[in-house]
Amino acid sequence: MTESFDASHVFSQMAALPICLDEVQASLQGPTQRLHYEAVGERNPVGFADRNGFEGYSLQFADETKGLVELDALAERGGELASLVYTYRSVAKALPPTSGDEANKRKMYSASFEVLEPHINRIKALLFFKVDGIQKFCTNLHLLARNVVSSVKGKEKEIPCEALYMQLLYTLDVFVVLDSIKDAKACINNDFAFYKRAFQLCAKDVEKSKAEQITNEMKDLQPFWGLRQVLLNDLKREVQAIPGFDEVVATMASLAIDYLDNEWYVLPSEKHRLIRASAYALWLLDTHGSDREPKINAFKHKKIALKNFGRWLKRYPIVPLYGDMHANLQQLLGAMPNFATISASELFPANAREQAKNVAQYDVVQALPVFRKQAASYIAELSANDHCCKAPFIGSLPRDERTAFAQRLVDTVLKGFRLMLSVNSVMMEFISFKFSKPASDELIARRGGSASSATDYEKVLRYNLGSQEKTALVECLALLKGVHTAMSTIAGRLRESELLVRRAIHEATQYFIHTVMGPPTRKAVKYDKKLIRHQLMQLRNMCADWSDGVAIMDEDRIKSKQFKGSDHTKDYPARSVAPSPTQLWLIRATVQALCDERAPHMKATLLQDPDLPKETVKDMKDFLHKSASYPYLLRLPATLSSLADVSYMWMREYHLELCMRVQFPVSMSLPAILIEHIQSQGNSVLMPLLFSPMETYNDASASALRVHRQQFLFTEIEAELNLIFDNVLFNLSDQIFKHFKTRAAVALLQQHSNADGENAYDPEVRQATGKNFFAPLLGLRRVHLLGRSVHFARLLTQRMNAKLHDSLDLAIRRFEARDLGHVLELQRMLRVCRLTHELLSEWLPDIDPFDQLMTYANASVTFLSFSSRILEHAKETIKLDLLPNYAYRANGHTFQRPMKMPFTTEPERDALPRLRQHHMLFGTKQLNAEFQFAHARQTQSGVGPIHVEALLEVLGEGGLNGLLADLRAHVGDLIEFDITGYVAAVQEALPPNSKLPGYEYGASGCYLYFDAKLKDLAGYEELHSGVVHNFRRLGNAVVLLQMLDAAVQAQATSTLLHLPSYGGDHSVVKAASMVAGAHGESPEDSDTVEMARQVTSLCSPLASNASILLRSLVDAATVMARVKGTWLAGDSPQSDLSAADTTKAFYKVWSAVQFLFCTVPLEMTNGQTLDNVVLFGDGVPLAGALCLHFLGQRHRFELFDFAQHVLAVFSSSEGTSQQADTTLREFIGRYMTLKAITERAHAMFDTSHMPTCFNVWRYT
Amino acid sequence: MFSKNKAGGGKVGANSEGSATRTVQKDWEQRDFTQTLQLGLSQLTLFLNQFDATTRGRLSELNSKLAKLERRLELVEATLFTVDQEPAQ
Repeated sequence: MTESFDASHVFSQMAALPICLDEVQASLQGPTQRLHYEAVGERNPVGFADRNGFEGYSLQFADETKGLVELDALAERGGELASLVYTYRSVAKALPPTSGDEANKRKMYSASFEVLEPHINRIKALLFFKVDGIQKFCTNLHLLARNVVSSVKGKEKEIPCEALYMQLLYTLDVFVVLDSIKDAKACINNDFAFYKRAFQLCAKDVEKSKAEQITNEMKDLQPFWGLRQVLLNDLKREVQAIPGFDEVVATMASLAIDYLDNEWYVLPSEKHRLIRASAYALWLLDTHGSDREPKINAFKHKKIALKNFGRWLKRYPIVPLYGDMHANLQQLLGAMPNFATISASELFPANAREQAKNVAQYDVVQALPVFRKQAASYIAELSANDHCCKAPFIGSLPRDERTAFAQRLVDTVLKGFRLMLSVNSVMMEFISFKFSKPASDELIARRGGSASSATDYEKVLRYNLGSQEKTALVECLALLKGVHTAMSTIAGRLRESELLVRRAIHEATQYFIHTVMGPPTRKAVKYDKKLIRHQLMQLRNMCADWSDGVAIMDEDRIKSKQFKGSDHTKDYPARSVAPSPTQLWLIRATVQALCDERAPHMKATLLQDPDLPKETVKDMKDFLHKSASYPYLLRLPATLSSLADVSYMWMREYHLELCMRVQFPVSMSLPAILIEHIQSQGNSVLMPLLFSPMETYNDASASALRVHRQQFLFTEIEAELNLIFDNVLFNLSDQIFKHFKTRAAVALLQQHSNADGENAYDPEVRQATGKNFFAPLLGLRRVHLLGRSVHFARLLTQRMNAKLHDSLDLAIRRFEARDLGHVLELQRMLRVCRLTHELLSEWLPDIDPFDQLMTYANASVTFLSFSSRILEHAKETIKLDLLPNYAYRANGHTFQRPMKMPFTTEPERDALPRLRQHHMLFGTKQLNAEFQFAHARQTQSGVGPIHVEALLEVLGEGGLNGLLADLRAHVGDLIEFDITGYVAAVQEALPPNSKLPGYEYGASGCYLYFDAKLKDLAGYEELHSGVVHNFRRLGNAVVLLQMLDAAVQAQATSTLLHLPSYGGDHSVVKAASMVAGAHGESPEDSDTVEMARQVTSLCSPLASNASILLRSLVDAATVMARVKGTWLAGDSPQSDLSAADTTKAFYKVWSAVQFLFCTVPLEMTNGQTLDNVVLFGDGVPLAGALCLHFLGQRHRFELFDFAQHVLAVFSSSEGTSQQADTTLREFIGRYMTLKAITERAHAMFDTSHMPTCFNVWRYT
Repeated sequence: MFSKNKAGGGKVGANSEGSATRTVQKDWEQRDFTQTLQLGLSQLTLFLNQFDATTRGRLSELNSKLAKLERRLELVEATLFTVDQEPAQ
């Protein structure tokens, strides 16, 4: 069969499958497995029954193996019971109080009895276990004691089996654990009392035979539940009745210390069990003494080396016990009868210095630096080995090299075991220590709690952990899980690594049997050393493996000289098979018996050396030491999982009982405390370790399902984790968004203000601009929680999309709530959002495109309509606020908001949205303030070209077109309806004759003449609120169009500079030509090239001679052409100037308006007067100039303008005449300003060939 | 695992010691074989676990891409829907 089956080709086929099984993400969590397969169990699968197959062992160790199997089963059952009692929650608490009449009460008691009975029955098993356990313990102890007694009496001397001692020790520990849990769980006692009462009151309803049975059982159960430490006390009583027990128990205690000294343990639980058991063995040994029994002082027993005990107990006065329980060994030993006979300082830290040292030894913060160093060097070593493991040549290496490599690998794995053990046990011990020492009231107050309201659990955990301790715990946890992951990659390459581990074990065993034990065996056989010959041959026959070509060597061959001279290192094949569990146990038991110092063959006499030479004994002990770890190596994945198990960090049944609570809130849970601590540190080194504390939930859930087998525990863990995970995700997405937004904002701020140096900003900014510690988390695609795979990246992407959307929405809402000046803030917020998106999409590639997010936030989903929230608000604010309410200042080229007037009301807007989080704006509070300050600086002088450029940027091309169309229509409406009406009104009020007065009247005379002529018009109540106001609206619109034009030209020029020099083809066209050429087409015939040309021409910037202003004014002129009849009042360009004195054409109208603009200030209700220029700005003369230009009346106006006439008279008489009065001078000053603006406007209209109503047809 | 029937009958194993030794050697060989099966099963489990992990990883990536496309399509659909509607009066 073996020959016909060759598995290697199956594996090679598997490896050759075209599937890449490499992980797609970095690992920040411990390994998880969906399928579990354990080839080798923890216990001996056949109960050592196969020992009969080995020659000579059917009789040897018969009693011991029986005892071992028996006690092992007992320990297993004990473990189940411990879990059952530990996870027991009060049932009686949930039962309703009885009420009503007697019949109803009885009914309720009967129902309560029915509910409680199955629970009590399960717990009752503990009583049976006690009886059975004590009996089995005593039987086996008796077996060992008999041997001791007989050896004392000088009878046959037998070396006792060490494994049985150890098994007894473990059983003792099971009793310790069970007793401690039972005493801690007061709820069982309560439930039992309730059960008893319920039974007594409804006994008549229960079947008679059953009732009797229950009554009898209750008699036994009553004292069992009522008394403390009942298991251990009963055990002690029974054990002390066995003659010679003290020798056995003392040996047990010493053995525990030996095991601890030799480090013959791999798991943290084993280490703690040994420490606990050594102390409890002393307790078992110590007696008061009575009439019947002698007094035994455990501390002064001949087999107890107190110094060795002191070494361990001084270091570990507190050890973890079970779940969240701890054992106080100092208290235990202090209460022992004979403790007073020794000095306390021999066993426990007595003085303050020793106590402080002990506290430091428990401190995880102090242990961390060493662990960090060890882990770093270990991972390096491991990856070197792993690299070799993967190498293809490893299978084809020569035997010696392969063996050496296998041995190296095993050494590395063992080193890893040791590292994981030390990290995990330090964490366990630290937490137990904290459990034993609650925080002081002062400390609780300092950590934000209240000593009076804090629960016991909070006192020992939440308020008992400092920031450094939390950090250290997180790091230790991450380190442990990291080493676990690294080691499971070794275990993950099963075929290579498991084979190599087995190869190393086989080699070590066979080398020991053939090479180390070969010569002593030959000597013993040849010289017939009766004491050991039989045992040595038995050992050899039991486990020696032989190569095919080598003859099996029996006693006769061993004696031969050929055997002595030859090398035996190749007598066995290079097999990758480990000894079977029974075989390994037998080898170890035999070797242990052989090298026991009490054995007669170990004793040298004066004439003779001992039968086994010292070197061989040393090698044997070495083998014993090494082989102790073989069972763990053979179940590598399971051992690693046990070593990395941190479920104890969540378990809290003991404290729930202590605090009489059903469950603790999340804030008290240790993993939640650690996670909160990591998140509170922000962008720090701890951030990549965020998922390490969550491993606790994975381990705890595995423990709930596989160890405790309690669904309710799993449900509680699941519920807590759900809550924590949502919380983590919420906070994390906030932090990540804030981080990237701050980065983006700082980059933009530096660009704008040339600020340098990170110190200029707040600590939050410094943290954000440093290293990005979120990067590892952002690289995670999915996380494993409670055996489920959660798409972490998708969840983060969803949240980032939402946050970007909210951020954009907030930016737009803030713009919507304010005037046009705040477009700068909108522009910067959009820039920051765009950069944030760019930075985020490096890590989260599936985030929505920015344009898509913007489309949603801006509500511009409609196809090709270019409507959007920004555009709507821009249109509204321009039409209702900028044009009617602002005054244009030509000297600063800005719009300023003058004083409020009754006819200039600001449009109603939504209230400014409340800012809930600083990162929704620019990242941090200080950055927000910086940006606000920058905006305020730029907006205080009014709305100018930078605002219009920003508007252009936020609107985009489509938006600009929408805005222009709206603005053009608005200008048309203004001319056609609003202004035309007022022009007609002014025309009516104009004096019938406005002949210019002669020079002889002087400037003052002329001024007063016009003033008197226009008296009626000056009293026109809508002069300011109607006439001037509407001309201001028109003028402002023209200026805005001019600014937009300039901004577009600037943008077009910048785009133009990015294009190839004139004459050359666009790069897209060139590329298309090459593609066409490759297909054998000429560029002229190719559709691709044609399309490329079209695309580039569509995308090319506006031609430098295209003008937005011209286009808009063409429209305005067209409108003017329609209403020019009213405006001209019959005074066409062709008509001569004969009617110049009486005409009411627009130039007369404007002349009057301009005169009044300079002379009639606005009178407020309080009698105060306001200057028109200050109120309406320079838009008014600009609008007048435009209308004059449209109507072709510029020159007529210049000839017949009233103000111009006054100025002309003033100028001519200035040199000769006396001083002019102040009013006139003021008038002249005002008019000069207006004149300058009008002239500038005319110059602009001329140079840009603006149309008039008479030639506009040429432009359309 | 341990077969007594196959013991004995070797070249050397005439005496009881030899036969037991022969049995032990046979046992080593047989365990070599059973261990191959055992490792094969472990390997299979490992392969399935790795396959599961990798496939889940890749599927989650695909899922994210699909979700992104879905959101994109939603936008396109919404945009096109506005085309079909009557223009506002």
